[in-house]
Amino acid sequence: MNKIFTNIVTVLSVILLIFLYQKTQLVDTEQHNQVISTLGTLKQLEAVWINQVLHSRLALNNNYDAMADTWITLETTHQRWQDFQLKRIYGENIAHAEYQKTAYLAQITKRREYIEQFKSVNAILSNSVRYFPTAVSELMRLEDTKLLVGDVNALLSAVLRYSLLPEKETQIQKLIDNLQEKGALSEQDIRSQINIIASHARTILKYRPYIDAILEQINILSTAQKIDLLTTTYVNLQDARLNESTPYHQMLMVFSGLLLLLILFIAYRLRVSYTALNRANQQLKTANDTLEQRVTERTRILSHTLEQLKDSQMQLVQSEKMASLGQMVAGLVHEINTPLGYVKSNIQLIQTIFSNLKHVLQEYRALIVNIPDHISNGKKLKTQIEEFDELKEDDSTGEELLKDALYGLKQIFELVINLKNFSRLDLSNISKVDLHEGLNSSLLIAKHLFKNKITINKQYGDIPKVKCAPSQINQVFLNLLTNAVQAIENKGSIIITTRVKNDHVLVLIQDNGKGIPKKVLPKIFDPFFTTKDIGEGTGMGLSISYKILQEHGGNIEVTSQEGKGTTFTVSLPTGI
Amino acid sequence: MSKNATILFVDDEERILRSLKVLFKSSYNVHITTNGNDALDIIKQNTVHVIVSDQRMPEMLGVDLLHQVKEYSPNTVRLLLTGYSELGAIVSSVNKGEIFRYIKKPWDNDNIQSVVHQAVRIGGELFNATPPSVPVSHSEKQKMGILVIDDDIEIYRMVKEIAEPQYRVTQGLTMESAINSITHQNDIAVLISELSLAGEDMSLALKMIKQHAPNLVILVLSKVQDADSLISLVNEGKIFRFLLKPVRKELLERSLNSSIQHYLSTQENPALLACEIVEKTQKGINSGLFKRITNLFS
Repeated sequence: MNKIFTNIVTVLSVILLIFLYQKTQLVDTEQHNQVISTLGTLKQLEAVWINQVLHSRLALNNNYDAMADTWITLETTHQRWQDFQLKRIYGENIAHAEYQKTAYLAQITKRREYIEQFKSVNAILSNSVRYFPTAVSELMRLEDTKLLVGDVNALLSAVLRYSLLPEKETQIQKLIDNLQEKGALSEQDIRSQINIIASHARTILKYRPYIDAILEQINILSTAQKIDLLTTTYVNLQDARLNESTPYHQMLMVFSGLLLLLILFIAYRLRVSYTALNRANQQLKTANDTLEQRVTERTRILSHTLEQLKDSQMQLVQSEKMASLGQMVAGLVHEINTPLGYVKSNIQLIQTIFSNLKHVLQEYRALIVNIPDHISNGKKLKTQIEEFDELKEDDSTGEELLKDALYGLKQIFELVINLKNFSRLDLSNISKVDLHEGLNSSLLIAKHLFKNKITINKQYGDIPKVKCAPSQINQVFLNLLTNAVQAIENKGSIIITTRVKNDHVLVLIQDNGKGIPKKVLPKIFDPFFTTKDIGEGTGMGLSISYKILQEHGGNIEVTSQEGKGTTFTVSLPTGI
Repeated sequence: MSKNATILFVDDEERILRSLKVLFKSSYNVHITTNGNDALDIIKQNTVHVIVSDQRMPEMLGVDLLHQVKEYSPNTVRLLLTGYSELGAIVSSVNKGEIFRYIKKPWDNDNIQSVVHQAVRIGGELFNATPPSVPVSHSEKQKMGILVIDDDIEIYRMVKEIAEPQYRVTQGLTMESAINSITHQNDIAVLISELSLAGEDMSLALKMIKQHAPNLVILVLSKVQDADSLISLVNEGKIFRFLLKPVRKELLERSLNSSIQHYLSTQENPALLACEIVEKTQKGINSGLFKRITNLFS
């Protein structure tokens, strides 16, 4: 999200930057300067041009090449001016300037026309001014012109003066007329010479003021002012353009300033980030250095936890097994007890019937003995009955069989009772019990097992009384003692230790018998697990013990080494 | 033996019935049935001195049957014969069936014979006893006492709320003080007892109290017990009611009223006390506790 926002801002900034740049690039100062300089050139060229005109007026030669060249230059310059893309330079608002330009061009065209006129008039005038003195000299060289000398000289000087300053035109006219009148009586050649003189004089008289008029016109048609105006207009236009772009300039400045600030800020941030990164790197390095140590530590804790977990899982599985078995057994017990009930009853009944029968038989036998031999066939009858009495030889067999049957039923019943005890907790008879008493009574009961092969070593500690069901706990002790005895094959000893550990009382029953194989060890608390031959053990002893301790909030644990012996540790909480 | 007595066996297993019939047919008129409803018919049509019923039967539970038998024929002595010691069933057999004995399967023939003989004798006495024509007036007698053997003050207070001022309520906080009260106060009619008092098991004491004073009605108010100890409380302690803690006041009140009613009926008709006879307890008679209690009674 943040990234998208940043991208958008960047793109917008760039667009704005381009826009502002374009806006500020409207003012083309260079082109403007060229325009202005072109105008200056034009003004200068015109001045030169006019100078050349004036010069050619005074000069006696009629060479206009310089003037023509200047004009060409002017024309070229005009063309350059035309070539300028004024709209691009000054914008759309150049109508006024165009108008002024057109006016200027019109005026310079007109001025040129006058100059052309001046050129042709000046040619005629110059020609007459140059040849008038020559014609006078020619006349003077002719014969018989002495009478005319005065008039001719007067005319000569008058015309020359006129050509410089055109005044006293009438006087000159009179002088011409006077000369012609005087010459009218002279020789032909004089006359024609006088006519030439008169013609030149009259031409001078005619064109001299005319040329002045043309020159004046040329002078009037000066374009300098127009060029000045145009220059001003262009400058104004340029100023307007400048004014127009000023806010964009300022905006560009401000925006650039902001961008600069942003860049500075980013640079600062980068710097800060870099510092933080550096620090983090340092920390990482430090962490790395301690990581291995911590991993080792953690691994140690984890493996410890794993062991505990495995341990509690095993206990859980164990108690789960016990619970499900308990439920099964509870239902089973009822089903077994019903047939057990009538089978037992029936056998007892048959026992009674059998003993009654036996009694009857004995009575019969006694009666048979009393049959006198002397009665007819008496002896034969006796023999026959005795042969018939098959029971006589082994009449106790049936009773024994029935006894065995009852014994078997008793065993079945005890197994059922065991199963039932296993499946429930005897909550009654819970009282504070001295475990030493229980151990001693269990030892007493198991005494016949020890015979001469086992010595008992009691290491009783100072333990408090424990709240428990003594019958059950005694059952556990007896069971453990029996197991210990069975583990000892020849001679051995059993050490019974009691002590307090934390809030539990511990009873350790340790034998130096054959030990329990490692692969068997995890199964010894399983129901029906036995290492004894079939028929010798139910495989329930230890699992019942386990269950009893679980239900007391205690525990039973075993450690064993094959060939060295086994230690069972019973623990019971001191204060329930 | 006289064949005047009639007994009825009810069990869904015919072989059980056959076996029992063989065992008892020489001594009594024996009826057998696998069905609770048939059993009720037999009860209605005959004078049945003793009924022995299984608990788990498909059509009618033994406890329900015995409860109905009690209604139709209160003098018939009721026994439960079962191979399944379910706590709930035992509790109902006490509270609803008011049974005389609880016999476990598999039974011993000698044992069941002696129990049934005893029951037949009691049944005969009950049927023969003539109820007193004039009920005893209680107002003239001294106030009856109720002894609460429980260190829970809440129970004591609840009993006081229910029974006072009509009855005198006292509390026994130890086994000694409880037995002392029983031996020295002759007005006590009902015991309301916990089974665990100050860390000691009261079961044995209660059984001995009942042996000593069969007319006392014992109402046990305790936490969950195991089935076997409860059975022994029935057979050896003849407890009249068993209530599980925590108890509702209404239930306690109803049970207490029944108990007092039962006490009064035995007062009016002492023949009924025959039913209060207990089996001699076998377990723990060599213990120090037994001696202590014996000393307390002497």
